Amino acid sequence: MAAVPALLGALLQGDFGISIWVFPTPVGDVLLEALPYTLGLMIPSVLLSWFAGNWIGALSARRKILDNTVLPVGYLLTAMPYMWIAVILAWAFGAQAGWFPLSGGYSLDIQPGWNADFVLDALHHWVLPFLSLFLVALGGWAIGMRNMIIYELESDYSAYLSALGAPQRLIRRYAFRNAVLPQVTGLALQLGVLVAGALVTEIVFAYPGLGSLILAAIQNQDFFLLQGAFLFIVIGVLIANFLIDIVYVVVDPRTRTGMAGGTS
Amino acid sequence: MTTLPDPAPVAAEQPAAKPGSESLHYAVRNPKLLIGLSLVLVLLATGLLGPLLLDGGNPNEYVGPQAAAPDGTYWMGTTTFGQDVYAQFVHGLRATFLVGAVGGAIAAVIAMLVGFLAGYRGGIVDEVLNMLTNVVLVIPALAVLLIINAYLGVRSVAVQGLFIGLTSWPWAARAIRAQTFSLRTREFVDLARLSGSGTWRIVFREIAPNMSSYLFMMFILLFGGSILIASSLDFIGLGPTEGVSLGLMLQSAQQWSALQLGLWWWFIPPGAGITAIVGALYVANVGLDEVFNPKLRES
Repeated sequence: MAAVPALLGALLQGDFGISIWVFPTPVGDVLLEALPYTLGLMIPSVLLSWFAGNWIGALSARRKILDNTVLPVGYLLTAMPYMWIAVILAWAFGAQAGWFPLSGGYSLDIQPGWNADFVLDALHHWVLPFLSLFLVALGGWAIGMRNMIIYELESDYSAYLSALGAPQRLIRRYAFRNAVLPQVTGLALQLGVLVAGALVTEIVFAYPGLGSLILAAIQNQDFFLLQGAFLFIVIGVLIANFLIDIVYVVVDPRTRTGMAGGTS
Repeated sequence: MTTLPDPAPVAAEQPAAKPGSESLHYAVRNPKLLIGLSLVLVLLATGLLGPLLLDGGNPNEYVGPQAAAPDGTYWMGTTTFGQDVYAQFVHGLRATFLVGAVGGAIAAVIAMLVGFLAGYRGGIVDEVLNMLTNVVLVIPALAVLLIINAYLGVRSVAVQGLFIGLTSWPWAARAIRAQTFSLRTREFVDLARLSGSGTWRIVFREIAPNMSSYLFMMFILLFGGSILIASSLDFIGLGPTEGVSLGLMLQSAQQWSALQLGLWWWFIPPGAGITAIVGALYVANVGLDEVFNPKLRES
């Protein structure tokens, strides 16, 4: 137990120990090299699926034909294991059609760097992992938004607005603004699941991010690397939660009144 | 005097029996619930009976030709080693249902204990339990499970379910707490408190029955969630060290590059099985929601 303060001190200075898998390299360096790939995959897929899912869900609520397609597709997508849809996409668009590469973050004959060749090549490798993360998350957001809009359209203010003769579009706009709030909270709640999805998707595509590192760490019994990756993920999720809290204060004026000491 | 009390029990019974039969009336007429439930039951029956019909050998044994496409003998083809994919699939269904049941049940029990206690007692108990819930909520469950499973030497399906249950309860606890909050100030709860009932008696006699449909649907979602988390863990290589599960099948298909070799019958069935179980559970859940909540019923 005497070693704990020393360990924590080293940790605060960014010293995660030395990796066993890539032996003399410090764990911090290995993780920092993989981090851009994971973030580059996660941030666009999480944000875009959130916006697109909310949009589709809001459109389909209380519209018979659209609803009858969006709901089953949404449930199918959200029930799929992340790695399975990744494997299916890789098989269909990679192995069969040959449009996209099957694995890796960039072609092996290209040196990573900030030039057009590398960026285009990396984008080409990025499409399929992005698409599989995007699709699975999309279904969940669309269903959540649809249910919230139906709930809001049944509330008193919607009934009052339509009694006043307000156009349906206006009522839907008000309903949307209210329904977005639980979706923002939902984003914070879902972060852990989204991270898990990104990790297994990376493994399917051998994408050089944290997920592939974790797999390598497990296979090589590299516990320092595993602990480092764990800390990176936890800190990342905490930061994201903090950012979402700030966003929530911006989009929901009631929380601002509460903080200023007033009553909402 | 002996004849008078007779009609009373009948009159009292009728309104008590009505809600149940009304739910049943709508349940058997709800296509979502029927389709979802029957799909789950078919898969459950396949998982329970399938292995018995297959002469009970080890599903990981090398029995057939290598990398054969599906045919009459091997319904789902064979792997590159000659393992029967169908035998693995039916055994894997068992493990998948087991991990869902264990993980879902443990998470539901913890969520109910924490949610009811925090919601009903309020005050300092609520503060402490709410803080605990929030802490567990923000820590990504998979990351914790990675560390736990990596340090455990021998892993079984039940242990996997146990740890999944221990990490996946927070959102459910939050939901139960919010529901309990709205129920605890009702008159019938006050009455029970006045008549001297203890906390747990009030919770289980007065509060829980009023949200039983909600609790049941929560369990369904926890069940499906456990299956998905378990399949992710299996896929990373932290699944059960013995036996077979749908996630482990996906992992070995990935590890031995079924994708590159074009052995689609190796990686399609396990994922389709997981998707079917979880999707059918979700659809059944929507159906149940419509049965219990008259507002959502389609007129």
